[in-house]
Amino acid sequence: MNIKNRFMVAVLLAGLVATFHVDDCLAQSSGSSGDGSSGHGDGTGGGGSGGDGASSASDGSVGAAEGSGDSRGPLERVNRHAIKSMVLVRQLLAQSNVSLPAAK
Amino acid sequence: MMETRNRLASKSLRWLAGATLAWWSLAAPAQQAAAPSQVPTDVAELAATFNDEVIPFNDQLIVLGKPDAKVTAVLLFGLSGDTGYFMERVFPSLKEKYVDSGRIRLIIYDFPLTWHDMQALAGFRCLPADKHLEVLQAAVRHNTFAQGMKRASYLNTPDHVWGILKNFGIPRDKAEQCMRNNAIVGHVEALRRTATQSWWVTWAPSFIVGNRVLHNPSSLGQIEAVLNSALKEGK
Repeated sequence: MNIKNRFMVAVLLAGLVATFHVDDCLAQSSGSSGDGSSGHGDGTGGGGSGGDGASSASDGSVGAAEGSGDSRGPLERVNRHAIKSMVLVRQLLAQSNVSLPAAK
Repeated sequence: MMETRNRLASKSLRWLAGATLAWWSLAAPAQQAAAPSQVPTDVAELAATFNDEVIPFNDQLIVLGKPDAKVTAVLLFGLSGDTGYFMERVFPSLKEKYVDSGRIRLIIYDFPLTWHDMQALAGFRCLPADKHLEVLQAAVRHNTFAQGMKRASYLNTPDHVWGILKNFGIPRDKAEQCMRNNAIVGHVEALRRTATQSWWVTWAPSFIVGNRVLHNPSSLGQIEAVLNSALKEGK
């Protein structure tokens, strides 16, 4: 292969690598143990496992209801209840003298 | 002959490279734009099983200690191996030394890490408030519960949670209805969202005193440093 062809192969491989998203594979797999898929919802997904047993980090998909403002979305009803319940949760924390910082 | 073959190979490679670049430039931005509002397929399938029944449930926080304690701390409780470790090794001495002695008030706060947890914690909220801490402790007593539950699909979660809830005298059909109820799951989601938006946490256990957040504390010593400084300040 001449240099030109080698360059083309390199470009081709770079293109394939760039289009491969590990996150997509993890987020779509049912029953993942909660370690490290992010990119959905509020994007707070962490990674790695903490010690023995089930992972201690949030799975990225757990915040999916947060971005479900669409009235036809599958988590829209959960989202609506969550918005109402957040008022109660804040009240309960305040009653126990927990002052919350402003939402970031 | 050799030259023709080389020319053909070169042409095909150029064509492939061009096609790849074109695919990349079109596909990558489209994927990025779609991500924020996308609900993963397995979560959407789970959500399709949710019900709107009006079910009474425990919507309170677990608050331990005396109301006049000078400091209130929050323990974010997740169905994780580290929370199990914390509850077994750190919680008993923390409770004895700081909570039972009246020095601090401690809130045990459900913090779901996955959609398995979301269902499990929703199911636990169908028990009376005085059983809430007991069921949470039972759920992290053995690593096998959370590990087994999280290895299975979201749709299979009730089979695992039932292993815990059956010891609390709740019928299986009611337990499953609670785990898949929009209002109860919404309440658990509200707890998660309030914690992530207020303290920027994604980890359980986390221990919060005032504006100090300890991620995954694994010894009483780590907590004591923060607690004692808060007690001095009287927060």
